[in-house]
Order: sequence, then structure tokens, then C-alpha cells
Amino acid sequence: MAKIKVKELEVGMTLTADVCDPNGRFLLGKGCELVEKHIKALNAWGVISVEISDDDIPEDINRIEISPEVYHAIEEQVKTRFQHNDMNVPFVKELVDESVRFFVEQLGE
Amino acid sequence: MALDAERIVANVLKVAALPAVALKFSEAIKDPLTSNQDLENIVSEDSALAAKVLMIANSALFNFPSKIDTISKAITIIGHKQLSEIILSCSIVAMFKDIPQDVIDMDMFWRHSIAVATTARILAASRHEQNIERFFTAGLLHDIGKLIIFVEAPKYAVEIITQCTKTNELMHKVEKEVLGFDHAKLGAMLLKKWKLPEDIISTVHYHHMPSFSSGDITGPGIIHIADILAHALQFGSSGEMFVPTLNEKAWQALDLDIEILSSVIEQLNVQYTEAVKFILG
Repeated sequence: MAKIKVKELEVGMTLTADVCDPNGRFLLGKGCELVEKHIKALNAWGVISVEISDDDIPEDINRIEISPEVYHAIEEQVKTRFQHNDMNVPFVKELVDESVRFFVEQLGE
Repeated sequence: MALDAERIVANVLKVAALPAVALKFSEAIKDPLTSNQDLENIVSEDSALAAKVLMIANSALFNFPSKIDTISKAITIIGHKQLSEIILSCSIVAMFKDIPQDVIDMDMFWRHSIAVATTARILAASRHEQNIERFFTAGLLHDIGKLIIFVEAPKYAVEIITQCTKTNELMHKVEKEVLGFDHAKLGAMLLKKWKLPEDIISTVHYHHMPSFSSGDITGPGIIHIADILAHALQFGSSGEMFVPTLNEKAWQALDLDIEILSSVIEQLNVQYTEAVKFILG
């Protein structure tokens, strides 16, 4: 199972999880094989990413390549900014991870 | 010498009256006899505002499949109360947009506030709150006290920033040491004078310490979490170098799963760009 942005979806890919809009409204079910109008609907309802099967991930999709040094530097910067927070709290830990991922992805773009 | 918060707020009120359109609109929607045409007439008095409201109604924030090209359509689709919040937000930002930029980068300041507003709106939607625009307004206004300090007491603002850089302490704590009060309290005082709804006032007042709020923790809790997210991802800048300390009770009270963070960030990334374009553009 892999997460993919709606703008990268192609006809024929299969959903591996139910899709809801940002307000939780059910749109498409797990196992649905996408046709053009599904992708249009996902866009119209403001869905940003969905889960599809690993086999459907196109090979040329932009993989972010980043050196371990740069990754480490980003991680350190994020942790410095979180110095007034307790890293053992699950919420904080998750947000630190998400922030690092966010900055790494931005670097890739 | 400590500053007098009341006097600062009085000074602000002299130059910054809440825009007439926003007041008229919120008064009008209280009257059940008001028609959509009446409301459209009020908004149209300020054509720049009307244009802005339409742009926001058509943005990724709402994602309506068809174009909303008149104010009365926006009223029907978005709703009276929600539109009233949007008008209030837009007019307050417009009011403070052109203040001198010696000590603070206004563009960065509003970007931070817009990120908090957008995140708060997303979190409120995830909790199925009734009027999610209310959270957007509160997010946009949460740091307005900081703005007042910068405008009315620039010398103190510089002293606060210098001390923060020296000690690595959080800004709102240093404000309390230097001024005797923090930006959250000052902001709440101004909003009270403007007669904004009580829940917005207490949300702004307690956004750094939601569990101190005597009322519902949801409002301050959502802005508290949104503020932490905006700082973590560095959307704009409030002048604060660090991510504020999490109040765990606030997060628990919202009853949201931490798994939701990744999708909140994805939505924020898309909606933030548009919100900035329409509110600051």
C-alpha cells in the first residue's frame, strides 16, 4: 500500500483504502478501479492523496534523493525549534517526524 | 517601568475602529427579517471587500464545483454566520496591513496568522464543529496583541526580542516579565472593546494555556494546536523562534488521533497558499 497525490493518479489504478473528503464524507470504496470521472470527483471534493497498491506506483515518480548529512541537518534544526517541548509525548514526536518529512519534501520540489 | 495594558488598548481604539461594514453585517444577520439582498447591499458598500469575499468563496478553502460569482450566491452557499466571519477577518487584516514595518515584517506576521487560521479551520472540520469559520477568525486574530505591542510600544518589543534571543526563552513568557502581561491577554482586551463574540475573546486569551480557560477548551485548544503546527512547519513568522510548549490536556480534549497530523499538513499546504493569495493579495 502506498500513498499517492491525486494529481499523480492515473486511470486503472486500484484504491487500497476507502477515500473520504477532508470533512469525512465517504467518496470511494477500497478496491475501486479508477476511471476518469473518479479522478475528477476526487479533485472536485478537495481530496489531496489516496492509498493505492504498490504495483500501481509508476516507476518514474519523483523519488526524493537527499544526502544523509542534509537530512541530519534538517532533523537537528527541527529539534532545536522544539526545545520547549517534551520529545517523549506522542503528539510532539509525531509532529517532529512530520515536520522533518515536510522540509525534506520541500527540498525535493 | 511596566506598561499599562488598558492605556495601550485605548490608544489602539483611537486609530483602529472596527470597520463599519463588518459591524453592519453582523448586526444585520441577527435580524430574521434581513434578506439576502440586504446583506448583498451591505457588502457591496465596500467593493474591494466584496471582491475579496468572492475570491475566498471560490478558493480551495471551499472547493465548490461551480463558480460563485455574486455575493448573494456566496451568502446562500457559505451561510450567513460563516460569511460574517470571513468579512470580519478580511476587514481586520486590511486595517492592519499598512502599518510601518520597522520592527515587524507584516507580511510574515499575517502569513503566520493565516497558517494558524487555516489549520484551525481544518482541525475544526475534522471535529465536525458547527461554524468552522469562527475558528478561522480566531486563528487570524490570535496574535493581534503582538501587533499592538509592536505598534504601540516598539521599544519594549525590541527589548523582548533581544531578551528572547539571549535566553532562548519563549516570547510570551518574556512579555510577561517585561510588560507584566502577554500578547494573548492584550489581544483579548482589544477584541473585548471591539465587542467580538465571547468565545473568540477567550480563545485568543488562552491560546498559550488552554487548560486555564474557564469555558469550553475546544476553541483555545484548536488554536493552541494550530499555532504549534504553524511554528513547526515555519509558515510565516510571529517573531517567535521556537515551537510553543504543548499543553497535553488541550490535545487530549480535542479527541483527535495523532495519525491525522499528516493529512492536516497536506490540506494546510494546499489551502495556505490560496488563503495567503486572497487575504494578502
